[in-house]
Order: sequence, then structure tokens, then C-alpha cells
Amino acid sequence: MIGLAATHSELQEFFLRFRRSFGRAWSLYRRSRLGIVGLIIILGFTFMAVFAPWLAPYDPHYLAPDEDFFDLRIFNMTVEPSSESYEPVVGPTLPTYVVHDGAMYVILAERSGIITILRGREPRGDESPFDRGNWSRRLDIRVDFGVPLEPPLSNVVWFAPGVNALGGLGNFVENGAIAFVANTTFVVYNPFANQTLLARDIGFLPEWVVQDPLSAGQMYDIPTQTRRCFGAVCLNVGPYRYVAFGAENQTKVLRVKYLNSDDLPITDVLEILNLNVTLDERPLLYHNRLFPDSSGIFLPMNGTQVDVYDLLGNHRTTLNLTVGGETARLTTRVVASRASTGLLLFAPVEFLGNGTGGILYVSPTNVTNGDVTIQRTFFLPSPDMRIDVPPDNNAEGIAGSIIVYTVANVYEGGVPVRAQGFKLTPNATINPILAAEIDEPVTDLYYVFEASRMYALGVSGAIYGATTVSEGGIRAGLTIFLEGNSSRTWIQYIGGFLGTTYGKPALSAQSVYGLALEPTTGNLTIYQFVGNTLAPLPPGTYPSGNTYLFGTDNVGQDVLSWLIWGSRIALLVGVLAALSAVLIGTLVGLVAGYYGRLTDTLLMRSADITLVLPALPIILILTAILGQSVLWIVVIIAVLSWPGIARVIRAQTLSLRERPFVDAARISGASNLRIMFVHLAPNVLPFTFLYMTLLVAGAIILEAAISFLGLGDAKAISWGQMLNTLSSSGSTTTAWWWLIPPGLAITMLSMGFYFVGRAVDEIVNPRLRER
Amino acid sequence: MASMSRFIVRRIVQALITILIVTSVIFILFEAMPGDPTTKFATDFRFRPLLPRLRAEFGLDEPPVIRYFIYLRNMFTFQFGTSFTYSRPVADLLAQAIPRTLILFGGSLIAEYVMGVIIGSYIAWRRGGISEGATIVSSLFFYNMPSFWIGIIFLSVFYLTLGWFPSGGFETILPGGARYEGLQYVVDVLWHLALPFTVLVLINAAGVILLMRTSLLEVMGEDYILTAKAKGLPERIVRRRHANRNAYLPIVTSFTIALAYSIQGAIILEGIFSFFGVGYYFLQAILTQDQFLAGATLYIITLLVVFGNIIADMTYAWLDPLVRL
Repeated sequence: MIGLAATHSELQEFFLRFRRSFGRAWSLYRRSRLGIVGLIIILGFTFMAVFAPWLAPYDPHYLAPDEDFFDLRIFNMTVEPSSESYEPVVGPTLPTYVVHDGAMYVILAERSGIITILRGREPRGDESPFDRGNWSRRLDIRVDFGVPLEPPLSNVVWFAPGVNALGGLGNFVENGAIAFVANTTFVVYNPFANQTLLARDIGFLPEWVVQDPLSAGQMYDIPTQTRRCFGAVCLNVGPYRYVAFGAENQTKVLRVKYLNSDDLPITDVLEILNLNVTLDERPLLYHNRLFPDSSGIFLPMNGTQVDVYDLLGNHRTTLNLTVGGETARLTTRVVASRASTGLLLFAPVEFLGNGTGGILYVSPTNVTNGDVTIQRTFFLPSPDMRIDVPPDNNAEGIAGSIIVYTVANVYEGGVPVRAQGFKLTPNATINPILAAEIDEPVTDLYYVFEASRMYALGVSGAIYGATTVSEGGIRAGLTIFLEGNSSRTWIQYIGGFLGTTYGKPALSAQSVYGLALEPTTGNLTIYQFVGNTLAPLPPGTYPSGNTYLFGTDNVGQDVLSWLIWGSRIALLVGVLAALSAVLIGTLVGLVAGYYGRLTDTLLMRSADITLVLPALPIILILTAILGQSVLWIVVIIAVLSWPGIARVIRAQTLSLRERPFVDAARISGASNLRIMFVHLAPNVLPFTFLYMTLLVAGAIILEAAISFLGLGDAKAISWGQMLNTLSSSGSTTTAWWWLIPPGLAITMLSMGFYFVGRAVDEIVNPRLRER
Repeated sequence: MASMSRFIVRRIVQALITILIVTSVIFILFEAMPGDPTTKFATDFRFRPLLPRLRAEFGLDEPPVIRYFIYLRNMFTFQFGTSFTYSRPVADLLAQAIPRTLILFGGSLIAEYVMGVIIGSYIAWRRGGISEGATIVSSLFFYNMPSFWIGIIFLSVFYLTLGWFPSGGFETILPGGARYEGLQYVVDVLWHLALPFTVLVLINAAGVILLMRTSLLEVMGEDYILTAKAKGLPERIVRRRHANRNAYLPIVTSFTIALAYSIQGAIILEGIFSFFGVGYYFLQAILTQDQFLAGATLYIITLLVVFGNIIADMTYAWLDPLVRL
């Protein structure tokens, strides 16, 4: 004995004895069917956990792409084909804030003089908005307006209704008027009352007609019928609508007073401007009752200058498009910010010196004083880019913070071949969130606030959609939203069919639509931008080509991937917690049993107290205090579970303590510690192991329960968390593919450890072996 | 039976000490939590002027030692304060909740063990055959199943899809606040209890089946069974009088332990079925940070567990005199 003690270290001896008893145990274990099955199950899950990154078909945070996720409603209808169509005009029938069920008019006009009005109402179920709107009219300018009119028709604009002095809409629940030019006559017509309100000769045949966006209902503000005065300060706006007409060497701006309460003929028509000039680009008529100082008429003259007039036609200043000595020329029209908090105009330009493109942020601080300056400049990142399409814009974030969406066409050899989308911050720098490279040039663009998406029309007729906010998931940057059709030349934002383009009733992402017309075929398409979510998706293969073997959850994450990755947390928490508990418990049991008396009493009393504490409630409270992280859950489970094993080990130690081999060791001079760890420990190890397997099974279910109650780590990928999300999303009845796998996995893994425990139990307690 | 009464007295004294210690631990826990009972009021500006009075009422300005004794006094006299979430005295809520939980869990406990014993002994005697294998496998399966999973499956199938059983609660409240009377009331309550009851029995009976089978197998291997058979006693007598009786001991132990600890499963299951028992209120208290309700329910749960332990120990001592030493 003494000789042996001198040649082997304590650790070596410990392992020697351990290996011997382990070998014996294994030959016994092998005979148990349950044990083998359990071991296979555990190894299977361990394999799953270790090789999760390679086994899982998708990253657990990968979101199913839009084409799988959404069910888009698309309505097609056929109108008269024509090669001479103008871009459709949408006419909301309610001012922005009126809470009512209104309608949205789609007005198609042909140069030959045919105007088609379609009324659309919020679609229910599968019916098209025009079925529900149940009204359409085809008007021929020659006969239907009560006054003699002749073609050609120069496109149509819509006068959105304002509110009268009483805050109402007048005689009709919905209101509005169509305005157009037939040959040289300017006509305003109310389709509700079927009454022509104005027919006035403007003296020439216009090539284009432009209206101020407030009047068209394209701003978040409402035209009012009363002039508001606050003491001496009067807001010099009212029920006025500004219309500009242009042709070769002719530019005219008219101001029309449009009242909707009585539908009397319009008598107040003021000719504001009448100039013999040709405008390079269409003018901007900016009229906003909240910012009367900024309201004005902006005429782009020879591209490098913008003449600024006030709303009464007085020339106030000329803005030179010059930045740092470099002269720039407009590449398309000047656009006003849509929000009612915005005071910015955007002028897309090309610098004549070096050919770089960009956008000038123009601030009309005070038109009357001629205070119109260039605030900021955005430079396109490369010289072969040019902004051919007017930018869209919106107010996002904090009031006054204007975000600009724009698409620049990329030129090669003087021809546009590609396009690049940009999201610009209020500081006129590129926000990297939007990464939209389009393989063809773009001819039209708009941004949909409710859907957080930008849509662009390519020359092939394909409509591209790009997400403009980062959603924490991996969503495709740009997708082809609608397939290409080369006769599709315009896209338009309708908003909702509730009667306002923006604003109340609050437009959800599902209730906004877009409009596309193919004039040569007469095919009119109305499409939803964000459809109804189909998620959670049942198992199967989907349009994007992805196959979800177990379907997805409610945000589009693949269930199988979560299942595979979830095994990591399950095993980690289970094994770590059980291991810690068992280590503590074994230690305590050995010490208490060996030393006895006071140590024993103290340790066992504390074990008793811990045993009585109801585990789950204490765990829940502690989680609430300490925070919901995986680590704390492991610690808490360990702290509450050690007494069980401690008791058993103590009992074992008590009986082993009296055995002869302990006496022998003591005589040969072994220290207490040595006796405990080298001699006693290997003999109690089977109990430790047994208890540990049962504890792992319990810990796995406990962790799942904690996560299910919502008190686990919300960011962890665990099976309990899956069930928590499932039950809080309300999909328990429908999403069986999401409900069954996690519970089944928990059950199977727990069974695995239980089987192993039973097999070990048979070794440790020989009485249980098969007869 | 002098040793028995001495044993009982000793255990009760131990239990009281345990309760005291556990209650103190709970007190420390709640002290450690951020905020105090007035936090919920402090966020609503309407209550600002009331804060000093509330603090005095809750005794929050006293030093911790004084607070500790006030707390102990409150707990032992069952003065639990008012629940913030439910705006009712906690004692009222719990007075209604405790019987409900006891009915559900007590009843299911009895059903589980009766069923478990019957089935377990049946398959143990009929060794071999498909029924044994099938029963064992399904028992193993249900034993390891998380109760909340099978709970939401049952809920979604039997309530949301089929509508056979109600989603939760304890009784139907008719318009006007009335309840059913007499026999109708009993049927109504049973109807509400049916789903959680089934889930509990399904999961826990499995364990009893396995335990009974194991225990019986062990007994069957004993010599005295062989002797009884050799004596020529009919199989029936052998089974009932000799084998089964002796196999019951582990079952009784397990039953008494389950008595004490089944309350924990209450928290999850009552939550799923919106069953207004002690566990449900505890969960709500945690989620809404209602300190008074949480503390009181935890205290009650602890009391039930300690009480259950006493009964368990006493029953075991009565059965096995060696333990009394």
C-alpha cells in the first residue's frame, strides 16, 4: 500500500479506479435495450447541436422572402386601348382628415377627347375595387359637357375637395372636380353633380398641364375654403387652385377659386402669369397654407435658372443653380416635399463643368422677399449617373426630417443601361439601407410610406420593389414586384380606396395600391403593395424556390432550422445545469457524510430548506430580478437542484465510511481529502451519474417551461421560445407544423436522458435488473 | 404510539422553522427586486400626491428590520394587502383561488394514482404481449412530455377547433353576474375542469404506471410470493393479498411527495387554461410585477408544500416505523 501510494499520484489513482468501475458498468449497461436507445437519442441530438450550422437549411434568422410571405391582390381590367393616352390621374374624394368611406377615382384621358372615370372603393374579399365602386363613366368632350368643345384634349388634373367654413364638404359626402383643356378651352367639371363649372378660353393649345400638388390631394394638408385670419395676420390661402399650361413660347398660370359647397359656376378666375417663354421642364406650383411664406411659382428657365414668382404673379427673384461656382442644369422637374412639415424643394441637376449629377436642396424661406436659396447639395457617387426621374420624398422620423428617394440612371456611351436607387438622409448623404441596383434604366418612381418600400418602373415594364428600412432580418434588397410588360409606361400611387391619398382613415400597408396602365392594350392593373401575410407557412416549396420542410413561423423563419439550432440551448442548459447541480451536491454530500456532526447538520439543514422552496416559483422570481439570460437560468436551476443528490450521496457516504478499505487508507496515512476523493468518490459516482441524467431531463423541460412562460431569454433560439412565440401569435390551431416539432423534440431528448438514467439505475441498484 | 406523537410534534416544529426561514428568504428576494410597492403608482402622475401616504401605509420608510417584522406579522395573520392588478384584497383572491387549485390538483392526483395503480398492476401481471409494450412506450412518452405542450395542443383541438370545452375559467358567469345553482353548478365546474384535468392525469398517471410496474416486478421476485404459489394459493389471492399490498409502499411515498410538489405544475397549466387558481395568480403577479400578490401567493404555495411534506412524512412514518427514530 505504501509503495503504491508513493508511485502513483492521487489523480492517476482516481482515474484508475474510475476506469475500472466504468468498464464494469459499461458491460452491464450494454445489456439494457432502453439504455442503448437512450444513448442513440442523446448522440443524435448532440450531433444535431454540434453540426447545426451545416445541418440547418437556413440561418434561423432568415426570413422567407416576400413572394412566399405575402399574398398580393392584383386586379386587372380592360379599358379602351389607345396610343394617345395621357398618364392616369387619381382623384381622392375626401380631404385628408375626414373620417368617412370615400372613393378614389381613376381618370383616364385620351388626346382624342375621351375621358373615362372609374370609381374605386375599398375592396372586400376578392372583388375588385371597381366592382365595389360600381360606377364608371365615359365622357366625350364633344357632347357630354354641355358646352361646345373640341379635341385635342390636354391631360386632366383633379381638384381634390377641401373643407368649407363649417369644416364640412358641402352638399355631397364626397366631392371634387375634373379640370382639363379641350383645344384652347379650360374646363372644370363636377362629375358628382354632372355640372360644368367653368369653360374658359386660354388662348393657345397647351402641350402640358400642371397643377399644384395640394389641390391634387397629393400632400398631407387640406385645401380650405376660408381665408384664415388670426388678428392682423391672415393666411393668404384659401380655396384656390393653381393650374399652369405650357407650350412653345407660351406659359400661363391661372388661379381658380373652387368651392365645393354649392357647385355654382366658377366666377373667380385670375390669370396670374402669361409669359411668352418655353419652359425646359415643367414648373412647380407650391401652395401650402401652413407655409404661406414658402408658397410660390417656380419656373425653370433655360435649365440653369429658376424664376420665382409669388402666388399673385409678381416676380420675386431668380435662383441661379450654381454651387461653388459650378453651374448646374436641371435634368427633370423640381419637386416639392410632400409633408406638411417640409419646406424643401428638390432640383435634380447635372453640373455642366464635370458632368456629375446630383440634387439641390432648395429652401424657399420667404418668397415675397426673394429669399430662396440652395441649402444643401447631394452629389451622385459617379459621373456616369444622371437623375432622369423626379425624386420622391416623404417625411420620416422626427418632424422636419425629410428623406429623399431617388433613382439615377447609369449611362454608358451616352445611353442609359442600368439604374441605381438611393435613399438620402436629411443631410443629403446616402443612407446605405437601400441597396437597389436595377439592371435596366428606370422611367418612373415612387415611394410608399405605408409599406416602407420604393417602387421603380423599368423600361421593360417591370416594376421593382425595394425595402427601405432595415428589418433586422435578411430580406432581399430588390425584387421584381411585377413582371415586365413593355407596354406599361406609367406607374402611379393610388393610396387607399377610402377616398384620400394619404392620411385618415389611417392607411395600413395592406390597404394601399398602385396603378399601372398599358395604353396600347388597354390593360389596367391595380396592385396591392403589401399583401396579406400568409405566414406561418405550411411545409412545402414556394415561389422563391425555397423549401421549408417544417414550414415557417409567423415572421417567416424556417421551423426546421430553429429546431436544429434549438438543440444547442437545450443540451447546453440541461447538461450544464445538471452538471453543476450534481457537482455541488456530490461535494456537499461527501463532506457532510464524511465529517458528520456539525458540518453534516448545517449542510443538511440548508439542503432541507432548499428542497422545500418551490422551485418553479422561485426560478420565475429570480429570473424577473436577475434578468432573462441563459446563464442565469443554468445557475438558478443548479442552485435549486443540488439538495436531491446531496442527500443520496450523504447516505451512501455514511454507509461507505464504515467500510474496511477506508480504515485501511486512513491507517496508511491518507489525508481526509484523499480518502474522500480517491476512495469514496469513485464509489458514489454511479449515483451521481444516475442523478445527473434524470436532472438533465428535468432541466431541459424546466428551461422549456421558463421560455414558454415568456421569462426566458427572448433572443435565444430554444424550443421553449418557439412555443412561446407560437402561443402568443395565436396560431396554435392552424400551424401544426410549428406546434408539433418543438414539443416532440423536448419530449424525445428528455426521454433519451431518462432511458439512460433507467439503464444506469439498473446497474446501480442491482435489484432492479431483469429477473 | 408515543413515538408517533413525538415524531409529529418534532416534524411540526421543524416545519414551522422551515416556514420561517423560507418566508425570510422570500422577504430578502423581494427586497432585492428593483422598485417597491409604490413603483407602480409612481409612474402614474395622478397618484403623486398620494405617495407619502402610501409609503407610510406600506411601512416603506421604516428601517429594514422593522419592515421584516411587520412583514412576518402580516404573513402569519394572512394580511396580504391589496393586489395592484386586480384592485382587490389579495386575501379575497386567494380565498377563492386555493379551493379551485386544490380541487383540480387534488382530484387529478387521486385519479392519477388510482388509474396508475390499476393499469400498472395489470400490465405487470400480464407480462409480455403487445399491450405491455404499447402501454410502456406511451407511458414513457407522456411521462417525458412537457405539460404545457400537451396543454396547448388540447386547448387548440378541443376548444378552438371543436369547441367541446371552454377555454378556461372555473365557472360560467351568466349575464348579470349570476352563477348556476346546485347540480347545474357542479356540472358546469366539471365541464370547465375537464381539459386541465385530462392533461394532468395523462402526464402524471404515466409516471405512476411505470412506478407501479417496477415496484410490482420487484415484489414478484421475492421469495414469499414463490412460497405463496407453492402453497397452492389461487393466483387472485397471491396477487391481491401478498404482491400488490407490498408493492404499494413506493406508490404511497410517491403520492405523498407528489402531494407536496404538484403545485408547481399548477403555475404553467393554470396559465394556459386561464384557470383562476393559485398558480395562475402567481404567474400574473410575476408578469405584472404585482408585489403583494406575488409575495402572498408564493407564501401560500410554500405553506402548501410544507404542509404536504408533513403529511408525506407522517404517512411514511405510520407505514414504516423505522423512520420515526
